[in-house]
Amino acid sequence: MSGIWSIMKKNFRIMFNSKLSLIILILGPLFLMTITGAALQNTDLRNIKASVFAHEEGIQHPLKKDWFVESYKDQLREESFAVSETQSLSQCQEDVLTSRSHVCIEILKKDPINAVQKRIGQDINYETKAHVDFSKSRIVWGVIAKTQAASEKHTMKLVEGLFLEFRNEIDGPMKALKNSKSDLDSAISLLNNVESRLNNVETEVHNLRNEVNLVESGFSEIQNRIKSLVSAVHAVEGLDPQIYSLIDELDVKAEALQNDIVDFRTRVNSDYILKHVDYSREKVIEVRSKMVEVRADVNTVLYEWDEIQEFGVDELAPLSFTYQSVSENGPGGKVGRRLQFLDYLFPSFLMFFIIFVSLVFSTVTIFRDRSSEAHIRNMTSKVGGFSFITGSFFSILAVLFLQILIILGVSVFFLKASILANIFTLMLFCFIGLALFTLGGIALGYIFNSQEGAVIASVAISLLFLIFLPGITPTETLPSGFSEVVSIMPFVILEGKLRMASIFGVLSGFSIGEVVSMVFAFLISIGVVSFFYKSNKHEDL
Amino acid sequence: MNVLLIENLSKSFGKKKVLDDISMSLEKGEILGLVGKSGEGKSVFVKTLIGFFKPTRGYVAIHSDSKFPIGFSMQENAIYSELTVKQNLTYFSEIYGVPKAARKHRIELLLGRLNIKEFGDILVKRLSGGTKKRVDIACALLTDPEIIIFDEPFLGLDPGLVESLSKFILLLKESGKTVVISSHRIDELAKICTKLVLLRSGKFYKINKSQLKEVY
Repeated sequence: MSGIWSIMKKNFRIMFNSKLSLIILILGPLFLMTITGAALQNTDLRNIKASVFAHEEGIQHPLKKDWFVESYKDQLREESFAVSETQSLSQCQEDVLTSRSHVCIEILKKDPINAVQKRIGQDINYETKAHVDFSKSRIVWGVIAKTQAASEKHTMKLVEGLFLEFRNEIDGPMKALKNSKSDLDSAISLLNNVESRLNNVETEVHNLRNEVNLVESGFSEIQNRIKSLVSAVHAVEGLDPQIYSLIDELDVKAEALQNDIVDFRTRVNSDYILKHVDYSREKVIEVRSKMVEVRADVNTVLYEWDEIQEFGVDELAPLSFTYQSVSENGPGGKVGRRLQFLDYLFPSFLMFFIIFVSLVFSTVTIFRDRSSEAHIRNMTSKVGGFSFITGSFFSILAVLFLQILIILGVSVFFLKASILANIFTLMLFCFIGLALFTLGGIALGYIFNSQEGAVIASVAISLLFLIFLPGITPTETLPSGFSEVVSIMPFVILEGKLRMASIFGVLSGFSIGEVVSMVFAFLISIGVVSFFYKSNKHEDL
Repeated sequence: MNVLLIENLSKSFGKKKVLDDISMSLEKGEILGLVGKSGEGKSVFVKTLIGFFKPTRGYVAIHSDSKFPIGFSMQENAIYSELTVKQNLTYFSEIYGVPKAARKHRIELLLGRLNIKEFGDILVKRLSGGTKKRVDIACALLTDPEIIIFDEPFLGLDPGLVESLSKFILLLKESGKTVVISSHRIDELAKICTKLVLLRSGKFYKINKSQLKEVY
């Protein structure tokens, strides 16, 4: 391990001791990206031929002249599309296959998926599907991007209009409802007071009834005592007759009072009062619960309104956009954001950079070391071939990865490439590509015994790979047997992965065939490096 | 005692036989001078001796306990011109397996002995030819080898430097090192060598100092 680290340190020092090398290493990618960015910033496709076919509620019909389809076509024309109408989906797709059109746009009506769409998106709830031919992949991504942009623009235009109209229409009633809600709150609070007062009345009635009962029973006791007194007085003979008369009068008055008390109790009919209090209270509770229900509904409506107020128009997006290959085996999917030209060029650009720089840089680095006067010391040292190759491999890889990071950084911050969300996936695939082509470059550096031969070979191989990059020569356009071979080439596989990651944010794994191809390429490179390292180890350059 | 023993050493490149059945031995403290016309195979002999070329036949045996018994200084200065003097010495001490603890001391010692301390942090490509040669010799001595091989050490050096290098080689001899020098500078070889051989048509011929001018 210390041998590998020594080789790496030596390589880094050689690279960074030269100011020119350092400037090229750091500024090279910056310069490259600036030129690329400046060249491609305003690139736009024009005069895209589009065949349009519209379904009506899932049933295939000849193009229906409804307002949406017509306005969508107008939008396409505004975006410099040449629009033609087709009578069936198959005809529309046939147009693409026969190159009469660049894209077939299928329009379908779809079910609303959220409350806002239900309320305001009924008339614009459509889906657009772009059928494209990936064999024309030099422009197909541009066509997808342009069609998507037109669909989005149209959506925004329609939705903004409808949404604002809807908001204006219900703004007044909602304000009135908000006021009514506070009246409702006051009414409920009043009903609460009434209920509490009824409860008080009930308590008071109960208290009164208890008091009367107490008075009645107390007076009954008094009357009994008066009766005993009357009996006792009458039992005593010889008293003043006036006393007898007074005591009888007292008895009569007490009886009359007793009757009055009974009469009063009868008159104060507490059961009747309590029954009415109960009835009233039930009614109050009933009304209040109705009012609470109404208030809950009003709250729900007001809450929804608040949500609608805060609802971004772009969230509505009723016009979803997907794309699909017109041939059976082509790719398809949904684009989550608007694509720029740089987006669909970016994977090819990255792959080109990886192939070219990895091969050339590693070939030159290895050859420079081999042709250095100091090589003889390396070859007679204690450090074995494995350490030399591994140390060189990692030092080259580190520098190249730094360059890729610079490119990714420049793309994100200066060229506004939308790759930030997938940056780690991109870095992973870039790393695999760098590792593979660095090994290839190392192999070339050991195969050739002349600097010119090594450099020309690495440039020629880079150009050969570049020609077969799907961004340059669509794999589908190659003869069938050849196309199958090219499609399993590591650089084609990696470009596909970079495209999936950078445009669709998908970390697509490797299929068994792809893994076999990649592993095979790595093993071949390692084998070639080992073989030529050993056979040329003692070559005097 | 023989430090270096060469037995029936042959080296061919394809059908061309460059070294043909060479046998010789060197004792501790000896300085062997190797002369021969250009293209006779002096550098091939040196590179075979240090292990860069594998012999086609025969062998080179070294009696030593050291892991790195041979140090060499090549005609082209086998050092990285894009590294500084210290970076070169550090790198080669690492790959030659000089123990980490001894590295710094060894490098400082050699910088002092070869009088190149002041150039320690300068890139080799910015140094003069003589200083580069001294850096290369410092690299050769990093492992404190018992046998030191010089391939055309005086090439491109001014007379003053040639003399100081000769003195340095004699100092090596005095410290018990065995030295092999391949050179066209017969005057210098005559001054410092204890043994002389002529390489001609792949074979070694022992010569003495008086024969040097005659055979060359």
